[in-house]
Amino acid sequence: MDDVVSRTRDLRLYYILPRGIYVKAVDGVSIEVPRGGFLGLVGESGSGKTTLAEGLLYLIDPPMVKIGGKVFYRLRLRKGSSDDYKEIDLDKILPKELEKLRGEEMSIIPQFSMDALNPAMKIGSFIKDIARYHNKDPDEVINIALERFKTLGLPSDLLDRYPHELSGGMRQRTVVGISTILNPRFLVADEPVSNLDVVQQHIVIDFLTELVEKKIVETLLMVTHDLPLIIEKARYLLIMYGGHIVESGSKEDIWSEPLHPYTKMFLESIPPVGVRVEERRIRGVPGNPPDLRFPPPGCRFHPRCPFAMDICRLQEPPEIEIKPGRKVKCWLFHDKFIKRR
Amino acid sequence: MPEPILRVRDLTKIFVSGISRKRIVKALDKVSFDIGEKEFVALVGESGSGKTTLARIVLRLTPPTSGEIVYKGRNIWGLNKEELKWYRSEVQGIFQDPYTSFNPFYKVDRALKVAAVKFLRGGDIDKIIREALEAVRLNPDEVLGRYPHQLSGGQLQRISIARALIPRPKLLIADEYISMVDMSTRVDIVNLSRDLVDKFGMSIIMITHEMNMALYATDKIIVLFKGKVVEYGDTRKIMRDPLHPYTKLLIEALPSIEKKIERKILQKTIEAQIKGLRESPRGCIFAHRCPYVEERCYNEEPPLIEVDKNHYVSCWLHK
Repeated sequence: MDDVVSRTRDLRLYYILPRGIYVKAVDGVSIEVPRGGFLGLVGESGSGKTTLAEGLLYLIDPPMVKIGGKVFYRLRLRKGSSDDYKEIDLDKILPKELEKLRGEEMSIIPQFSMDALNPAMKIGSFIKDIARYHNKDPDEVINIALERFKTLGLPSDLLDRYPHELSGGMRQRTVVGISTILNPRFLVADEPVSNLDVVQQHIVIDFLTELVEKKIVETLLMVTHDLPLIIEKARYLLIMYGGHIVESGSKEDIWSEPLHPYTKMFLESIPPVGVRVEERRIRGVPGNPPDLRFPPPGCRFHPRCPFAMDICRLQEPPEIEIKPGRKVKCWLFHDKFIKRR
Repeated sequence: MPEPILRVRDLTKIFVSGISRKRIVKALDKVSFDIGEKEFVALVGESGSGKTTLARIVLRLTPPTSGEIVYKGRNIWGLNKEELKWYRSEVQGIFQDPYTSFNPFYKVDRALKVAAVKFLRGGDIDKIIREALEAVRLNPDEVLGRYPHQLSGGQLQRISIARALIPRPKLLIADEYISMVDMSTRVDIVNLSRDLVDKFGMSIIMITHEMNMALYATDKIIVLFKGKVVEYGDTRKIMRDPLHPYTKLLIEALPSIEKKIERKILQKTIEAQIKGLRESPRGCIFAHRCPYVEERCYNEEPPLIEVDKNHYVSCWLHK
């Protein structure tokens, strides 16, 4: 796949705890984030999805440390009428350059909206500050912000308000709006609707979809535990479990034929509309997610997997490419075992 | 028709805030419903609908402003000391965040033991605890002797349920008890609740914002919107034929991949929200969002009417 916006190679991001213990939140992840459209990074709490999302933007601050691996970002260079791309190794650029990239090239909608705003600053001043930092005309940026806020159903006097004057739902939508004002090419949205009601959820998802459709945002990576929430909009999915990406592929492929046992069981654990418990009992995934301080050897899913073989308990499965853009990290799809499928 | 075990009538709760400029919030507005024996009921509403306030009042954690709650024929706000003890063992609560329900400095055993000592007179406490854990399909040897941080959210929430089961309650009130459990194990908690109703003859009020879980497993749904019951009745009837536009909205908002669904009411509501329309002070609370709105909806409040047996709605469309 050559149309990639961001990629990692054997990325390891750990959290340091006292007494020399690490939380291996991202543990050897090699992914290629395809360029363009609405993508989903799906995993349950504690799977390492937020850590990976932050890693893609190189937001690596203690206690998170990069133990190994690489993060690349593919920068767009405008050359006359045609676009050219240049891949940069985020290890090798200066912190200052990185700060510039964030906001204009890549941006994140953070999970905790209260921490993202300056409590001592009105929303308007905060936006002007961002504009000045990136050498943009503050008034122009304010106009973009006003437009975005309107689409998000936020009141027109928002710019004169302090963060504490906003309700939780308004604050979250404000952060969503602000994260997009510099028109980033690559936008990572980390659980942007988790505290919103149904109507507000749809407002935010429609808003983000529209930015993608209008090509204001080229690639949107939505990080969520709620697969049903994005199943209608996403075109490509990355499924994360226990610090690994266990499966990736187009939404249609994953939905119609999930390969990894975790993906399969996860999809089956969501009751479809219209199914009643007395007619068909839906089962959850048995067992418990791994403790990422002491992950199990071999495949991290093996203690919960009904198909686990001896090798799964001993050796970490390789990533197997089924076809371009479709990968699965499971021994069942290895040449040695393929006949057992 | 058998006598309901819990009868809620015209329950109203008003919160007043501010010192000089008083702000009045009606968290619950004349809420009425019945909970029958062996009934699994979903109380569906979004944040701000008053559902947690309702749970707190039924659990006697907050007094209502007005209205009546009758449990097995007795008004729960007029119980004497002895009756109160009885009520506290008959009606148990389970809360949203399993991580804050347990004291992090003690092993989970303690929470179970405290419940057993408090509610039961004698008996083999260890045996009772093990039975309660087995009833929620946990292996006692896997969880006993552990601290809360050593267990997953799903395990802790099951222990919360086990703790609530120890006094052998007749009514469980579960406030958003699945929202912090992993998506892939939520359905198991709902299945377990279904079994507690079917096999142990308990009644459960599941307070949730997840309409799909309510439709999947419950007997009855109460839809709450801004402190009011807008629709209430048999789950299968509501699934087949939702009557209130807000209930329809909650159902049409559910994701679908197989077929494209038209979300007429949701669209209208989104528009209303983006335009910043406010509800009218007198009429129906949903009027400004409603695609079927008529003149009278802005002026007159619709009553809760029985449209069909065990199916009530508060909407002028069905009068």
